[in-house]
Amino acid sequence: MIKQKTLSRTLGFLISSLVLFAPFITHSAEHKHNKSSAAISAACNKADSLASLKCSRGPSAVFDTNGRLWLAWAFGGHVYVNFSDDKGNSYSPPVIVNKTPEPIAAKAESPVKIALDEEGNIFVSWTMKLAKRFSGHIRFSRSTDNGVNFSSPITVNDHLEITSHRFQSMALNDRGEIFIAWLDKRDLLAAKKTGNPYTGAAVYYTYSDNQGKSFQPNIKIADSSCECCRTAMAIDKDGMPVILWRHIFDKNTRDHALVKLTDKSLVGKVRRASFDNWQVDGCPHHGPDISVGDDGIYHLTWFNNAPERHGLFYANSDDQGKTFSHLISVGNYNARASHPQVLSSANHVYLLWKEFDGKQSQLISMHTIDNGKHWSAPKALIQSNSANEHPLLLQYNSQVYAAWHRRGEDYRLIALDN
Amino acid sequence: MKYLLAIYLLFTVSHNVAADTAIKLFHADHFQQILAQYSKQAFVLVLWSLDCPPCYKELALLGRERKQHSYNLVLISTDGAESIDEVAAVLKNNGLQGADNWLFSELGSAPLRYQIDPLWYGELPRSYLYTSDHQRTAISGVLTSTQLSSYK
Repeated sequence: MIKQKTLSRTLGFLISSLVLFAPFITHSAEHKHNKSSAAISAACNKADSLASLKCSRGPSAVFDTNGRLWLAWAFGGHVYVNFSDDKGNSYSPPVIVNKTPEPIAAKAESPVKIALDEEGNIFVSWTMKLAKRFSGHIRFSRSTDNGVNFSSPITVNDHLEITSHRFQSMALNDRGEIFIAWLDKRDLLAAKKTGNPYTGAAVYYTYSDNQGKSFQPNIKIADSSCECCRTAMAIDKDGMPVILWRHIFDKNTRDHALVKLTDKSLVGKVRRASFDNWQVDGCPHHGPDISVGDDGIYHLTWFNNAPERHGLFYANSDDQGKTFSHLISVGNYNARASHPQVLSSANHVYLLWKEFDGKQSQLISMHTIDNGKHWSAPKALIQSNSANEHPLLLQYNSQVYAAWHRRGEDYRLIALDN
Repeated sequence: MKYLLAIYLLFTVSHNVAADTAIKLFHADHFQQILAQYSKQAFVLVLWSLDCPPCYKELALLGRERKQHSYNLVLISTDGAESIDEVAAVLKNNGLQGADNWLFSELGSAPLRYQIDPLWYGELPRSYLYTSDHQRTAISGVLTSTQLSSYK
């Protein structure tokens, strides 16, 4: 299986080389710029390149209670975990999570996820690709010995037909209960079998109350989600998760929906969380983010592209999503502001996103100390010429960091101003 | 020697695959080249990717339309050079191997997207209906046959 994959990759590379030489290549500055970016990626695509965070796909990161930064990422058919004790200046050698290789669907919109409980147990989830296009299983593994060994991966979706179970989000509460939500096409599959119409995918979740030893039967949250945008999850004051995703309202309105679990097994009312009315029978590949403050305020950020209302937005809710504050526009639409993240820490709220000026991508952040009434000026943090993934916001004590994976370059952590 | 033979065989096989569905790698300069190639001609430009379920609806529509009548169709997949086999197979399945087919040299590349349209946020499928004087209408999401007909 692996050999076949390598062969196919080699074949692809050779075909690429053939086709590359066929068309007439001129040497403008743009072209050179592109080549350098491609050269960085090519170094990572060599068949003999070793597993490294630099060349990984879909890394995620989280701090433990001692300030150690833990990362989980995919390379080839494996998920790896490593750590940094010096805020990202150096990294430990990686440890393999899944000893048996499997096809892994890790990319910017669907990265590997990692979370730790207060005892230092490490939980990792990812999507395993299946034989058919768009199909996948949500996989989970844990380490109870501080990242030395990981358990054999288990599949947490209890519907095992070959269809889409992808785009998972994961969070755990102070009680150590682990929640995983994802986009699931089991209902679409069932509808097709009976010839009934079904729009989009569904949102399902499960939880574990035994530190990830096993997961409960899956529970449906909603029908008709958008199919290829990441889901987002945050934990409310009472320890119950709040989940945010891009939904399909009416025929093709791709706005966002939010739900709070009222108990581990009880889904609350699904509420509409954005009202931009983007009508599109297509894939934005551009999911939202959510963070819940210590005061219980929900902070949301998202992208929409309706003719009348487009770009990145932020809004918050002090009544668990029943009503929302005035929304604000975030970033420069003309510089393609995209893939926003939000993090609430004490009474501060941070926003982070990417922009692109035609040559370089850069990370921009801003923050507020009064729950969004006033914001600092947007500040550029770091640039990249490489293919890069979506940025993340991380927190250790009161310090918030931006984290960014630029393929072929060092994984960067940048401390944000308070 | 065995290694060389293997390389030779790979080239032979790849040549056949490429000959069946001609796909050109799309680099930064190629968008201007496409515009020059269709100078004073109307054409439809469609961006798509393997990981976009609605794109398959659009490819099916474009394939059906091409059976009815010929029109200038430029298809650019944003998947990256490593996906050329899969891209070729999907094009062929939809009867689109004869279109003017391109493939991003790098998956989802931001600079390449920018060349085509600085304000395109990457949503797919993304279509541009070009008039003969190259005024263009951008459409995000699956084209309807009405939209495609209005262009004719």
